[in-house]
Parts: sequence; C-alpha cells; structure tokens
Amino acid sequence: MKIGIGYSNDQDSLLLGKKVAEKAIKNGKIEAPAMIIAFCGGRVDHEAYFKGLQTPVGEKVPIIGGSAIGIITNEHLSYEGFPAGAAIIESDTLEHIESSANNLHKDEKRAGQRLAEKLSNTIDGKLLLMFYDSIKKPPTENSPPVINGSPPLIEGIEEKLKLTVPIIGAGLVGDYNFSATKQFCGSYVESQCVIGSLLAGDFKPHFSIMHGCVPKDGIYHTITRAEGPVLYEVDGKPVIDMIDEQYGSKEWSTQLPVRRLTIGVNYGEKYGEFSENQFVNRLIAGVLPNREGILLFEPDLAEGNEILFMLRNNKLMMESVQKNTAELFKTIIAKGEKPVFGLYIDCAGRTALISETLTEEASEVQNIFNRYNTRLLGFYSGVEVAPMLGRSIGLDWTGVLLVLAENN
Amino acid sequence: METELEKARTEIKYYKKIAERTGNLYLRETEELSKIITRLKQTEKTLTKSEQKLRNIIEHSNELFYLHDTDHNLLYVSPKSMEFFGYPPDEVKIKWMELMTSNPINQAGFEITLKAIQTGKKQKPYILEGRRKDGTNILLEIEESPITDENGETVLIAGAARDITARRQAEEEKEKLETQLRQSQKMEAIGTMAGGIAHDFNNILSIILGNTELAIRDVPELHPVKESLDEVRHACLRAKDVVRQLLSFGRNSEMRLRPLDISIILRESLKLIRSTLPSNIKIRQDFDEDIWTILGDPTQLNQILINLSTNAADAIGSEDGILNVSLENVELLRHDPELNLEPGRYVKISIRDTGIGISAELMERIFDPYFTTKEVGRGTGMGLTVVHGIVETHNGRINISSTPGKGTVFEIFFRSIDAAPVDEVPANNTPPHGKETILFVDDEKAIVKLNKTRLERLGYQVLGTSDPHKALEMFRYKPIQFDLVITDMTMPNMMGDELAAEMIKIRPDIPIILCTGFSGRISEEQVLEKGVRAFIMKPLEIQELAETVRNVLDAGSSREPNS
Repeated sequence: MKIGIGYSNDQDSLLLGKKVAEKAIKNGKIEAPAMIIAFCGGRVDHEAYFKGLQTPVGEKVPIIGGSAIGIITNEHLSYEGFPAGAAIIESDTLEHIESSANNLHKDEKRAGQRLAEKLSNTIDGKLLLMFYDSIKKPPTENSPPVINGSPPLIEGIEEKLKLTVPIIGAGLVGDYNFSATKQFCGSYVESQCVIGSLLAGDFKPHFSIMHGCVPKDGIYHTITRAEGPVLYEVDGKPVIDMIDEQYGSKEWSTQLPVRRLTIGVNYGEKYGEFSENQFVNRLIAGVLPNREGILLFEPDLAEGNEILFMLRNNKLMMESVQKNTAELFKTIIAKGEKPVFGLYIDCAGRTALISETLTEEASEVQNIFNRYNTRLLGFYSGVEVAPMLGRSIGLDWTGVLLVLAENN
Repeated sequence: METELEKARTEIKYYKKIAERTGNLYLRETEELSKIITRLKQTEKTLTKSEQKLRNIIEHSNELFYLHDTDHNLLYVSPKSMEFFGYPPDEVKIKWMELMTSNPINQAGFEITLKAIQTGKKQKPYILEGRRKDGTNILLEIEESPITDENGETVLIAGAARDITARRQAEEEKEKLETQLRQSQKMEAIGTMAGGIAHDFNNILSIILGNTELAIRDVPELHPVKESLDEVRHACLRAKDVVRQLLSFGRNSEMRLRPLDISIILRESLKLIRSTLPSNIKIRQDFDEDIWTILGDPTQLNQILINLSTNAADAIGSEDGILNVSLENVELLRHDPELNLEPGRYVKISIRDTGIGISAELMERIFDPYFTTKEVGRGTGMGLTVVHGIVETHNGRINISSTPGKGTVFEIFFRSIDAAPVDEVPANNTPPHGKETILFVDDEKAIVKLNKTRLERLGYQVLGTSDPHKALEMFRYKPIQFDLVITDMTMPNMMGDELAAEMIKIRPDIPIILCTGFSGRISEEQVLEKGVRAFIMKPLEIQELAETVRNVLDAGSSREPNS
C-alpha cells in the first residue's frame, strides 16, 4: 500500500485542491491512485477544492471526507485560514466500495440504513470509514446548533450492514460557529450526507481512543426529564440551575459548546476504579434560549439514565494521547505488522485554542508517527465514531486514532 | 443498628457535599484560570500579531534594519542582508567590519555612530561603502537612532541602511549624460563653426594649392624653388585633410570603406609621422607579413595612427622614448568578453609607447570628448575621441592598458574580410586634357581665376564668373555653347544646387559638377539625385579636378539626368 499525504493552506480553493493532490502524489510516489480521503476547513470552497483534487488524479478516483475545523499531517497542524489535507491511497490489494446517503437531517437512522444497504453483500469488509454532516441546523441568534445524532445513524447502518465491521468515522464540523458543512461523497460534494467506504484487503485496522475527561465529583445524578438531545432536569431539578450553581455564575451558558463541563455516562463499575475507557462523554452544545435545558451533542441520553458531571482534564488528555498512541504502535509492531497509514479523528475541542493548553495534543500523535515513519492524516471533528464497549459509538471530546498496518 | 445506618447516611451526605463543593471549586477555579489563560493567549496573540506585523514591515522593507550595542556588536540584522550583501543576517552580524571597504567615507561614518553613542542624540545620515559577496560594491545611506536608558545613557543603536548604489549610479549617469549633452552641444557649435570657416579656409587653400601646382608646372624640374613649392603643396594637402577631419565632427562625414591592406596605409603614415615626431622618440615598426584584408577608410585609419602617435609623443615628452607600432593577424577561437569580440579573424594594431602612462582613474575618461591632461593650448582633448569614433565606425574594438611611469599600449582590432585589397589607383601625374567649353562659377574671384587658368592649361575653353546670377544668364543666353558647368556650392546670392537646378530646367542633359568646401545644406546623394553629375570637395587638386572633368565629359549626354 502506498500512501501520499498532501497539505496546503491557500485561499484559492481550486489551487488548494490541486496543490494538496500534487503534494500527496509526489510525497507518496503515487502512480495509480485508488481512493482519496480529504478534508478542508469550513472557509474553503468545497466544490472548488474537490475539483482541484481531481485535477491531477481524474474524476474516477473516489474522494471521501468533507469539512473539518483543522488539518493534521506529519508536518502540519492548522485550524486557521484555509487548511486542507488529503491522503491518496494506492494499493493492488485494497478493495473498497463507497456509498453515500442524503437527507441526514430528516432521518439519521434511515440515512444509515440506505448507506449500509448499498454496501452490503459487496466485499468482505474489514472496516467501514464513515463521515457525516454533524450540523442538522446551524445556530441562530436565538438558538444553539442542532446536531445530527450519531446513535440513530449508527443503528441504521448496523441494522442493514450484514457484516460486522468496526465503524470508524466522524461527524464533520467546519468551524467553531457550527456552520453548515459539506461532505465529499465519492464523485460529488453535498450537504446533509453520510459517506461510507467499506475497506477490505490485505491490511489490518488498529485503533485507539484518546480521552481527556474526569468526573467532577463522582456524584451520580439521574436524568428526570429529557427529550431527544435536550436535557431539562436532573434529580428533579432544572439542570441549568445545577450547572449555574456549580460554576457560581451563569456565564458558562454563553459558551458554544460549553468548554469545561461535559455530561458523562459510566459504563464500567459504578464505584470502581476510574477508567477512562469506560466513560462516554456528551458535549453540551449550548443552552436553550429560554434557559430551560441544555442541548447535548447526541440524543442518546434518556430519563432514568445515571450521569456524572465531567470535567475536561488537559493533563489526562495529553497523557492519554501519548500513552495510547505509543501503545498502539507497540502492539502493531509486536504483531509483526508494519504501520502504513494513520487517520486521526480529533475532537475540535481538543485543540490548544479551545482546551487552553500550551501545546497541541495532536502534536504528540505527530511525534510518534514521525518516529515510526508512518504517514498521518488527521482532522478536527465534531463527533468521533469508534468501537467502544463492544459496539461502534459516537464519542465527544475524544481523539480516535486508526492505523492501517500490513504484514511485514 | 438503625443509629449506625443513620450515621453512615449522614457521613455519606457529608462526604458527597465535600466532593461536590470540591468539584465545584475546582470547576470555578479552572474556569477562572481558563479566563486568565484565554486573556494571556489573546494578549500573546496580539503581541505575536503585532510582532509579526512589525517583522513583516522590517523584512519587506527596502531598508536593512540593524541593532547594535555600544561596542558595535550587532545584535540584530534584518533578512534584507541577503539581498544587500549576499550573506544571511547571522553572517553579516559577524563579518560586518569585513564587509566594509577601505573607502575613507566609512571612517567618517563610524565617527558619526560614535558621536551618536556618546551623545545619545540622533545624528545626520551618512554613507557607508560595503562589499557584496560577489565582489561588487554597495553604497548605503545610514540613519541611526540611539536608544537610551533611564539615565540617558545610550544602550543600543537602531539603524536603517538604504541601498543607494543604483541611485548614486543613476545620479552619476545623469551627470555623465548632462556632461555628454553639454559636450555634444559644444561639438555641434564647433561643427557649425567649422563648417562656416571650412568654406573660407578651403577657398584659401584652393588658391594656395592651385597656384602652387601652377607654379610647380611653370618652374623647371631642377630649379631649387621646386622643392619648396612641393613642400607648400604637401602642406596644403595635409591642411585639406585637417579640414576634412574638422568637418567630420560637425556632421557625419562620409566614410569610404573599401577592402584594403592596412599595412600599406600604416607604412605610409609612419613615414609622415617620422618627419613630425621629435628626434628623442625612436619609432619601431613590427609588421607581420601577409596581413589580412580589412574593410576601412584609408584616411581615417591614417588618422588613428597620427593621433595615437601624437599622444605617445606627448606622453614621452622630452625624455628618450620608443614608439612601437606593430601589426599582426589574430584569430579568436572563442568570444573575448573583455573586448566583446566574437570568434573570428582580426587584424590587430598595437601602438606602444614608453611614456608616463595613464592612471586607472583617468583611464575611464580618456575617450571622453575634450578630456585632456595636456596644458591649455597643447591639446584639444579630441584626439582619442576621434580614434574611438573611427574604430567604432569600422566596427572594431580598442583596448588600452597602461602602467603609470612605464607606458601605454593601445590595441585595435579590425575584423578581417575574405576579399583581396583594392589597390590604390596609381597616381597618374599626367592630368587628362580636353577641348570642351566649361563654365566655371565661384563667388571667390581668385578661385575662378585659378581654375580658369588650370583648365585652360589642360586645353579647355573656360568662361568664369563669380556671380551665379550672371552665370545663369550666360547659360540661358546660349545653353548649347557649354559642355560642362562647374559651380561652387556655397555662394551668397544663389546656392550652387539652385543654380544647377535652374540650368537643368533649361537644358536637362547639361553635365554639372558641384564643388564645395562644406555644406550642411545638402548631401552628395541629394545633389546627384537632382541631376548633378559629380560632387568634389575643395580644395581642388589639379589631378582630381582634371580627372573628374574628363570623367563627367566622357560620360556625356549618354547619362540621363535623374537616372
């Protein structure tokens, strides 16, 4: 498998796409591209960028991906200006089939089903790469953004996909304002879509999830009123009041998303040792205009669920990314495999800008990839999708690292 | 048991409260900390932006910025150094002093910096001369501002250097152009003046030359006065050439290029030069055999040798010296960048003297018109300009090398041509005769008289007049009686070409010869186009006059006017 990575940051979107593709071709010595995984910042003209990517490779090579808040490669990391990056893959043994489904905002589950129906019974897939539009409705002056939920989407996919393959992917966001996004659906560019690529062949997928949150106080609360992604009451009290009290002010509700506090669900032992791998976090996307409730990034919390208030922890985030990335590589090497390509799907909240760290968390990933001389493409996302606790799940505030390896 | 349970519940509540409060405190603290970090980051970003902006200004400015301490150690040099000196800032920091030339203006500059350090006050801008990596010099205009501490002591000097090399060159170029313009105007004035006096001077020469030639023919061959008369004639001919050279500055004198063996020309010239140079100067002649043919004007090539020899003689002065003139064939196999000569075959003339030589400073100016190092009255400053002009018009190249105190060598290259030299027509001392009737017109009566006598001695019937209107009347009265009209060009009442035109109107086939000392009014081609058959320059030599008259008459009416 040959991988070429291209990166550029240029206002001229057509030129940007051309440069990125040309760099990737040069960088990977690509002769016969099989597929392209590409992302670009929200300010980039996606259609022009897409055409630019096609310029050196032609229109027959499928391009999957779409909007991202920023781009990470072995040498670059940027979420300012007009960043864009792509991985061009060439392989004689890689089998892949792409599919897309639209109208995600109308029915996530149905979109998932339609996507999977097209992929089913085709190839003996080992991995499903899946990228979807996170923004159902961009925020307005009076309302927070409405998010396309990953649980129904994944449910729809798993329902129709006959193979049991891990789903690795992301809910795409293009900027911190939660503006509308676009997806690269193989041969065209569209919004409110989910794009999937089922991969098969002589490669081995390995992945790891990087966390970064700890329980605020270890006190469990029960949801007493929730509706879809909106959480109204916890322990019979308005959740807004509870959070006001925790912060000591109402200032937090102006944050989009809320930066420090998340809602966590512990899938492990209730009072057992803290294990980040057992926690699923839900980002608070915003506050309803009438301050009646909080809008979560996913609609999967229901009345009766026990939750904890979680706090983002930079130290844990850095330790997690360093430890998990290094361990993943060690595992791959120990198995006698050779890592060839990494896709890092990193929550946009983990940038130094939002998490207020002095260094970029993703730079730890870059360091380890460079140490192992392995090509890396990463991007900043809204939701990360990866298998956890035995099933594929949408995650918040995590970094999902996928590494494709080949037998030595 | 009940009490213990109650106690445990209370304890749990208590610990929960503690955990909750601790968690909240942590949240609030980190939130506050976050705000501080955000503010700091924003400040840092603003500072970074501002620094970036400043850096952009500095790095994209046309000036080189630097900062040095009071010991002249450079602490910062902007990346412009690469463009200015060809070295990156870090290298310039170390080798600044090495990059300065020995030009005394640099010392003056350092003193101004020193004053700025001592006084803490901004000083006037100054100039430094540096040397680039490629060896060329760069002129910098420096403006420095001292940075002082709270006690007013200078701690740093911030400087901006502007590359003024091009500006200075442009200024020098402008100055040079202005000088050239002034010189050109001066040349034009001289040309006009020369043209004006040339007519009179040629008339005088014509009279002297003509009468001398008549006298030579009248005295017996072995009469002692004949030798003197020959000298007078010889001097007249040289004077004629001088006038021709003089006129060439006023207008583009016509060059008569023809294939020639330059060794013959130079041998002849050296004979003449030998008789004019003082005896303290020995002339050595070193000519290769079978010198290739070149395309040239013999008179002008002769002038080159005369001018360079005169200069050599002046350079040698009253001391014993040698003038060496050599001639050789040279074949260049590749382009000579110094001489800007393409590969090919050349004839090289070298004129070497053992004089005082020329300093490097003067070397650049020696071809400038009116540039002379000679005392007033001893040189016009035109000699080398003329040489340069002649070489240029022959598409040749000139190279000078000189060692002050040891002498100078002028090397001149002329491209050879694949043609045999056209031999000089051997002098026919017997002027052709004739019996035809000629009307001779010149406003100078003495010239009319002289040429009437000359032509009559050649057998012609000659009617002469100094009034062109009278000449026209005579012609109109009986046009058929004249076989030829010879008229001067510049006459007060009617110009020669106007007279010719009127006559041609009357009798289109009348052969007319126009002669002139100088005319800026009309060229030879224009005259010939108007139907005039020949154009000759004054002063007229008997041989030239006789041959021209015979040639025109022999061509006769077989040639249609304006053909």
